[in-house]
Amino acid sequence: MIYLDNSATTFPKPLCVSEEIAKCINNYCGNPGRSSHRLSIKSAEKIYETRALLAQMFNGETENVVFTYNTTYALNTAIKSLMVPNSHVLISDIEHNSVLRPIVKLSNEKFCTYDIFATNGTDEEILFSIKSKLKPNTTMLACTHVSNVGSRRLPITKIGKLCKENNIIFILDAAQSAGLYDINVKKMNISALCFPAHKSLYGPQGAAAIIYNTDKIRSTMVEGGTGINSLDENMPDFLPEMLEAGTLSTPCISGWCASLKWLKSLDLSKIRAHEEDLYLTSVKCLSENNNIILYKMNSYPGNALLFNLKNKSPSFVSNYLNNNGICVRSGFHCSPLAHKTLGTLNSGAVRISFSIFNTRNEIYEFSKLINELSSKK
Amino acid sequence: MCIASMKSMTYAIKAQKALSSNYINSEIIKLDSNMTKKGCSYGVKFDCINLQVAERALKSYGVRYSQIITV
Repeated sequence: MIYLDNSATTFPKPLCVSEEIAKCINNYCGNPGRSSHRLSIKSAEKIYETRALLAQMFNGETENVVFTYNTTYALNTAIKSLMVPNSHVLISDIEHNSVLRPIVKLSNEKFCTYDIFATNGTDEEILFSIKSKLKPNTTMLACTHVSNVGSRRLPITKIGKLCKENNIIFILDAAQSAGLYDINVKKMNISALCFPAHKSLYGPQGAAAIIYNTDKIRSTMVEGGTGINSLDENMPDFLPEMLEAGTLSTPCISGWCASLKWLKSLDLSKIRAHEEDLYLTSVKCLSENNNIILYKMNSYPGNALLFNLKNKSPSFVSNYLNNNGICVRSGFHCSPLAHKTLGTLNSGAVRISFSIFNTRNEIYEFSKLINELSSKK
Repeated sequence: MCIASMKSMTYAIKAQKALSSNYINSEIIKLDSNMTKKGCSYGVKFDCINLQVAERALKSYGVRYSQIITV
């Protein structure tokens, strides 16, 4: 089996992840932050260790790392906890539904208005597009770092600077970039960084995080037990417990802790170079076939590539590949805005995406199959 | 013994790490209800002989505590 759907979730995971999850469930999985017995404390310590590793990786404060269940929950929480009523929000034209849908809902409920800025062009052109959409009541900009459709990468350092200059909350969706590109919440003026465990951080599904770098939190998303202040009818007013109602998934977070320690022992730039090499190898192989349409969003390489075969639907291609042992993803990738921007909103497309565990030989084998399919009537 | 009362388990672990890095042994405990206004809270228990060093350690680590109780 060749797995090329790593933008959806990386597979396989390093072995240490499943080992730690099993160890957690079998040896120490008490309810974290609910008691002072040894299992509860051990679970809480593991969660704290994971918070600290994430804070270190993205230059945040340990207690400002809030765990959620996936990036969609993280983005919803960040957006809704920081939203100023009757304000104006900016999002980009390559957003995932996890940013688009909450903003559209809030807009439909007359809680905010929003505009979409363009991401094609140079960094300066992107900044110009943002500036041209700013209004006196713009209080938030939420955008992706790297698109899950074709790897377009936004100039987040410059966007962060612009947000700071205009006193705008900057929420960054790092679903595709965390673990692959350097992100520094303080230097980049990111107010809330949202990312999952299960993509380029190689953790399990079921855990994600927000790193807050602002004290402008206005409300909670979910209310309930936090293990503290139980006699108070209101949620605590401090992070992380303020936004972590209910029991956290200690097994998932413990597995994530293991993957973070594994990643720490590796060189991020080498992982990036490896995946970019696979991207360029794919581009080279697929470019040789005139029946293949490549959708390159950028002049630079990334870790996901979109294509279509002439006269064959994306789902037909992905089914064919699946029947021959290759996992890819076809369709719209939960990102209608990005497909609209790319001009593939009618058909969708096939996406291949890479991880540290893929090899060039796998790309050659995939290309061979695609060439065989394209020659079939 | 001294008990520094913390806002939450997260802060209690942070406090314990701050004390540990200053060679002070401590234990995380659930506080008695008579020590808390809102119920369910945690504290870090350590030998009062280390009180001054502990206060400095907690301050330098940015760990805020509501009070230190002697028991």
